[in-house]
Amino acid sequence: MSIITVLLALPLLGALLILALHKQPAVAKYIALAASLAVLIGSGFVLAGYDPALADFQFAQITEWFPAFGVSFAVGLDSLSLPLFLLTALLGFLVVVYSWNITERAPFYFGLLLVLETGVLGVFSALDFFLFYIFWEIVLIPMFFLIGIWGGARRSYASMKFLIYTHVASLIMLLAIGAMFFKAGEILGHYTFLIPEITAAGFDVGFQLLVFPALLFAFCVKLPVVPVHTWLPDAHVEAPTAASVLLAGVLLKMGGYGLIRVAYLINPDAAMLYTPVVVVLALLSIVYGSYAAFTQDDLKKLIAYSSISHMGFVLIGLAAMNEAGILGAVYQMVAHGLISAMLFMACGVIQHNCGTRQISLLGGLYGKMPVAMTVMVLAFFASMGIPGFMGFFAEFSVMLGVFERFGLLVLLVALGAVLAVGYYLWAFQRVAYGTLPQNMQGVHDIHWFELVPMLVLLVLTLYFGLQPDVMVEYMDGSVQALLAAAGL
Amino acid sequence: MSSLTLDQLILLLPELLLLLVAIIIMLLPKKAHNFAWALAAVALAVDTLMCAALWGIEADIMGGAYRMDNFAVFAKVMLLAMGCINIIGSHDFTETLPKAREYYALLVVAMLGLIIIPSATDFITLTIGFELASIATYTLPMIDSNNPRGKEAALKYYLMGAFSSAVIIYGLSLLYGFTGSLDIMAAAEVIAVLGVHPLPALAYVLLLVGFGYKMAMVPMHMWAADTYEGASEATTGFISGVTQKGAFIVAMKLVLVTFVFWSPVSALLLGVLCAVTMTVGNVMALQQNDVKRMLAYSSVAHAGNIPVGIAVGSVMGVAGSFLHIWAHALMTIGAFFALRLVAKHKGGTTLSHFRGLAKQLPWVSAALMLILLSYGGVPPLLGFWGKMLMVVSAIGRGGWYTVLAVILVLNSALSLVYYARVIREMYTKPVEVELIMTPKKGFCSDCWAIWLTVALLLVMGLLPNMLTELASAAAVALW
Repeated sequence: MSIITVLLALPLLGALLILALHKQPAVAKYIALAASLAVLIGSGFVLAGYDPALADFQFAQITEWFPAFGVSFAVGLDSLSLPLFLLTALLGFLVVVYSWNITERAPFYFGLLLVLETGVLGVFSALDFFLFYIFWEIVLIPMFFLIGIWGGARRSYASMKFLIYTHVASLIMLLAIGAMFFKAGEILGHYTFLIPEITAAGFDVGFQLLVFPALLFAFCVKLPVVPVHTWLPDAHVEAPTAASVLLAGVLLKMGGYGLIRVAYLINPDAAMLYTPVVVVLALLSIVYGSYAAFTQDDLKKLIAYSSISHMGFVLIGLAAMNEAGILGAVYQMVAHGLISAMLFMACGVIQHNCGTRQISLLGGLYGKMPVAMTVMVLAFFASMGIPGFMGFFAEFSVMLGVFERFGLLVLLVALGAVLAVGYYLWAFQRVAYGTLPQNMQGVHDIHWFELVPMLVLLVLTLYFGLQPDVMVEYMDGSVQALLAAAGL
Repeated sequence: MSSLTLDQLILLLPELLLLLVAIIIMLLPKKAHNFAWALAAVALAVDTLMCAALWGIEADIMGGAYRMDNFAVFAKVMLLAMGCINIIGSHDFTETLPKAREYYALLVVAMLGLIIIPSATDFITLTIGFELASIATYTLPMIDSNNPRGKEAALKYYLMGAFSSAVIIYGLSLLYGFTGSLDIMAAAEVIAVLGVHPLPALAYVLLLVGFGYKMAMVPMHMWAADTYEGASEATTGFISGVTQKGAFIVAMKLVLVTFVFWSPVSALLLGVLCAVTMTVGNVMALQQNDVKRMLAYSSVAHAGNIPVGIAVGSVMGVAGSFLHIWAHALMTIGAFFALRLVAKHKGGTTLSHFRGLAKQLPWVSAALMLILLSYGGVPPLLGFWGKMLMVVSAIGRGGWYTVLAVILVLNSALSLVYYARVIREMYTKPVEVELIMTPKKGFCSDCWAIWLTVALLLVMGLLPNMLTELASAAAVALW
């Protein structure tokens, strides 16, 4: 049995234990902490045992599960999934810490967080399309509840919208998976859902042209890409902070991961032919996302729109289909995972302490909560791509790739980055400076359990921003694999 | 016609046992409610095992009028298991019922009729089995005299059932007139030799319409919502979860054996019916405020889902249909027993009764949540696998089947909207209607049925391999 299987089972076992002990709500958070910490430590061992020089899936386990139908329980990690797997383990642990003072239906809450962690870890490590789809769907249910129960005023609407959008997208993905299953069966001579085998089957261009749009749609909803992004701001605004952190930090990465693993690696020829469509969608996301962020009065909505803009970088980096572009896209996924987690935590701090996130109702908070504001401005810096932070390297690499491939189109991409500076600084100015509103005279600074996760993220963002090579070494394999698939 | 020998009689033991038990239950004293319940439940459980023991046997008995093969055994075990769960759950329902004895006797007789269907090799035996099952269930909706809407439900069910039986008989007479045979296989051979002809085509349409009534396919679904809603929950579970499933077995024989020669056209007709049925069922379900009526329409929608695999006609497709029959039967039985508990404790089943239910009846809510997720096709619950197999097999056949697959997938997404709405009401909304009675401690037969179905949905969902292999073997035996 692979260590990954154990790591997948741990949060689930934790959730079951919480269910068994639901009469004592106070212990739920300790169980959740223990389970997610165990996963984090376990994934540390995975990282230590991973050999970046090998191109294959490592720690792989393939066990027959449903042989009548070619389905197996297959997990494994390669250079594309490893960083995202680690990111999930890290954020899964940090959100438990961050949620330390949750008391409303605590067992249910922490149980859902753990189930969600299993789901996302499963998506990133599944090597079988069936398993992939199952984990993909499992992710929806806890998030639906997290938004629907602990969310804000319009949580009912937002949770339903989230569920419908992403469920429709995953069903469209299911259709494409079914088609690939049969086509691969014809080519290989036996029916299988194993992702590596289907990837190796090599579909003809005519077939790829049919499947790719379905996959693109499915993953673009998740990413999300304008114009199918509208679920995201609603979900973020209504979601509790921990759910927002996971939503932006890892759930959006599922879209990017799926795009590379399924859409691009299996259908590279179609991906090249559809490049114009992808580029238009990506530019739309980048520019519209930043533009919309400018006009938001809700801090969380602002960050949500900036997420859309930043995920546009992932999409256009992929569309560039050269080394710098793809590396930037992959790097951006991890960078955005860490940075957006920080941003949403900062936002949560303001929400919890001041009772509102409306920028127009805030002001002069620097005097009252200096630590929180300092961390927040650093998170803003990281997100707007100031050199030294992870975001800079990622965005720069993407722009380099875009310039190589599309020339001056890079100006539109850069516009997104420039606008980010504008909306972040303007927002910070309105929140931190000016006069403190009367009703906020008594606000206190950040709690320890909120500060610790943010500091961890900040340190990591800085470290990988200054030492990108450490991570690039692990990512290089996936970049080369994608380039090889496209015949470049 | 050869006479019935003793070793052939052994194969008929399940049927004979049911007949015997039905008679014994009718002869019991009026007060013996508990005994009748236990006897019926044990008899069905034993019967399920007896049928399961026949797996792998292939035999023609009674001069070829009755056949035992993997298809028949699989279908029988499926129907008997569902009937058994339904009877287990009915204990609390019949406690206050003056006609408890009759209730169990009718259920057992209906089961007898149902397990005749899969073995029938000619349309006469098949119709007899089906009529036995139907007639036994016609009175079920009105068996509870405390339920004021039961009579209306029973009358609608009866009138539509009688009408559809007439249509079926008319179709059969046309088929007989044209082919000179009512044997399911022999008729197929004659049709294959003679080619396209309007008379058997008319027979096919009439049969499809007739059994379409029984399956509650649109536009023959009008009775279903009223009957399912008006009948007491335990009986709705039986009608929708068990009796109705017999019609799908008939549809398999009809479409895939007798009229297989016309398969592109005949399957297209069924496919169109499927598409219309699931769409109409889901759209109607979306607009319902009463969860019971919503589930009634969802049953209509699922009556459109299940035959998709039959229309596809491949082994995988039929296996998918079988899996979905399992899933839908389990979900329906479980859901209606859960509704019974909700109605009992809160006085109704409208959406407002479900608000905050998770705080009042946490375990029922949890079970109902799992059942609803399975309805919506969320993996890894069993409701997902049947749909999945059907979608994948439809894509595998290509052509217009792909369109059918897309329609099935979109409908599945649509259906999750109203299922999720109930879950949302239960878990995210504050309590609106207070409990009218506190949940009693101790034995609760409804809970047993609910948790049996949930456990089966989970176990078979996590380990779908065995069921799928058995279903595939059963599908192979069909031809």
